[in-house]
Amino acid sequence: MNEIDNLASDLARCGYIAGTELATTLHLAEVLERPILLEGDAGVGKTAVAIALAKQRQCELIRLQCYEGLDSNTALYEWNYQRQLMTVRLREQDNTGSDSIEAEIFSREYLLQRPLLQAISSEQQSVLLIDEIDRADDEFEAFLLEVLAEFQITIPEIGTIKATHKPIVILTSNATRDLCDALRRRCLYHFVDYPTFEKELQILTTHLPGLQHDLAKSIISFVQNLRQQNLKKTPGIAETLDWASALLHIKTAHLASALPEIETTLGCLLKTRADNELADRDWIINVLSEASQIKNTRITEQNTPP
Amino acid sequence: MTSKAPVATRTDAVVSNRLFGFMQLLRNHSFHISASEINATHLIASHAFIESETLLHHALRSALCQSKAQWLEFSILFKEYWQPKSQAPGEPGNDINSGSTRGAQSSGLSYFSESIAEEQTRTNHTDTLDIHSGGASDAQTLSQRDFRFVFNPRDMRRIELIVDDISRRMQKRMRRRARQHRTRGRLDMRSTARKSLRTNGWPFELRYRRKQKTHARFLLLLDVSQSMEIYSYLFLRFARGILQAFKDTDAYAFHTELIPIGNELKDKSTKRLESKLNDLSSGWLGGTRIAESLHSFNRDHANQKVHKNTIVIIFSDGYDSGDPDQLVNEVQELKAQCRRLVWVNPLLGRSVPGEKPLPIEKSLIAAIPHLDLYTSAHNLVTLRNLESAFKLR
Repeated sequence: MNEIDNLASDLARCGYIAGTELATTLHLAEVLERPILLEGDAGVGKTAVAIALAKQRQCELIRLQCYEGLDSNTALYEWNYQRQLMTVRLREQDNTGSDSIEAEIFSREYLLQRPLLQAISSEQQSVLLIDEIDRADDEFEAFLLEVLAEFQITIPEIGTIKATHKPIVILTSNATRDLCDALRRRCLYHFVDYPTFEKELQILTTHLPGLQHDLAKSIISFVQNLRQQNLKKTPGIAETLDWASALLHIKTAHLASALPEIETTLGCLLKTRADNELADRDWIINVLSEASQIKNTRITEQNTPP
Repeated sequence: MTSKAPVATRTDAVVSNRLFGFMQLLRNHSFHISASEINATHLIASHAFIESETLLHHALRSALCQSKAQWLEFSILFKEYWQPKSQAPGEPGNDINSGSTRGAQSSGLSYFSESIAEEQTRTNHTDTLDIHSGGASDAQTLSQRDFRFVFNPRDMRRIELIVDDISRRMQKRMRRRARQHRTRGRLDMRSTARKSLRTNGWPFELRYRRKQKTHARFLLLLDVSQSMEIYSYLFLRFARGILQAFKDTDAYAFHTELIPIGNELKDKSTKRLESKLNDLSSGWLGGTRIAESLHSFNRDHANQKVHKNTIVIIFSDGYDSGDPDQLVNEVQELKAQCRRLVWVNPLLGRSVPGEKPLPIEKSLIAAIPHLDLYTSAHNLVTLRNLESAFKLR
């Protein structure tokens, strides 16, 4: 077993079924010391990669959630302005000299570390998750380029802080807008797609070991078929897990004979009004029968000798 | 692919040459391969963990791809390069001009031809979708060519990619402008002083002036009648790009009636989108009743979809079988509710300046004075110039 297989099985133990492809990218990121850009639809498990990797490496996960208008102050550092003012006032009463007040209020004690600085100044290697980078502005991307290239930050009042342990950087994007080429070129790219039948079954049985194998297969067939329908919001892996938990909770034994249970729990999978309106009884029966065909085909394929 | 990679000899010049050849192939397929990528490739190939061709494939794909399209194309190219098929150049799959003569029509009502293009890539990777290859003059000619004169599927595919790119670039520029509005305003001394009263005059909390933000909302009305057949395909594609790039955007198609297509065009999955449009497209490519369609929009949708910051863009040749007076009334009514009303007529590209206008404009001529902008978008240059129509001021 090589390093990549080891990494994949370690991640599986941490609850993430990565497969060789993603494990190769993660290993490569460490070897080449480059950030990883994970792109894919919402709910396919991009953020979970970083969480599982931090768990596998037993290190801190530092998360920067991006949004429109995110600026360097929120991402990097800010001076604790209120505390500085308080100190100035107190020291003035003590008749302390202005130079020593200035030296005190612009020390690291008064610095509010935001995720990027936190990751760079961390004493151990950490996993830095920059989540949904496509929501941030173009200017923030350009700023990020500088930080990710050098792994150092210059604070005029303090000096340059250089990372002693370069963090493993994972950027995620839902591709709601195009990222700049410069950022893409600096990253290793991995497209995270919806999982195959086998992979999703493995994910489901890992997360819900109490689920009967036959029911798990029926659930996956149903969800995989649902993804082929004209839905406004395609269900991701998280939705599958939620739905399976709900079915398990209400003690469903066989999906084929559980139409009322499916109707009541379908809200776990369908998250928009339009999709819920589409899902009437006939539609569910149709999806269910197609799903049963998918399941039977899989069983036949598995039983056929190669 | 289970065969062993050239591990034992990977430091050999032969392997380096093979890798270099692969880089060349990728570069020919619009992959961005610079010195840093070549370096990374050699580093990857020389690493001990690359034990099989599968691992080499996965590692190189991560290092050399930058988008989903490249990610999907890479596996085909890798397989063909490292395990080449012996396919003769004259075999049917290699004929890029096979099938229909016109790119726009090759897919019939299948308006979004990525699946067809992917298939073409699979059958013949030498027929690249490269929008960068070819000389500058070639690109320039293509930019200025009226869409109705694009007969080659390959040229049509290049145009499709450029049309997609136009909406993305438009979004980037407009986001940058919006960003300038978003920056924190100047220090608000009055508000800061007032806020400081409870802290004995000490300005613990600074207050800033906020700049007023005005977001434009776009509404696209697309004529999909028979007379617009040549252009409606690309306009739908352009509309899809706009809808996916901007928030608060909606689209309707019209022929003899009005059909909302905003939700469909926002779908990122091309296959789903194609099937949705196929479901909707009965009656498309028939006659046109612009006035009636606009009336139906004004009556049923304008209240929710149009407000003072909405820019309405109508893509139509103005060929209306209805009453010209009704068209003027409907245009006036729409104009009264929106910020700007733009009419994009691709046939304008055929008019010669200074000469008598084309007879087709007759039905539209009375409505033109009520429009804020009456322009053409019959080729890539004019389509790019449409950006001015998307500005609030």
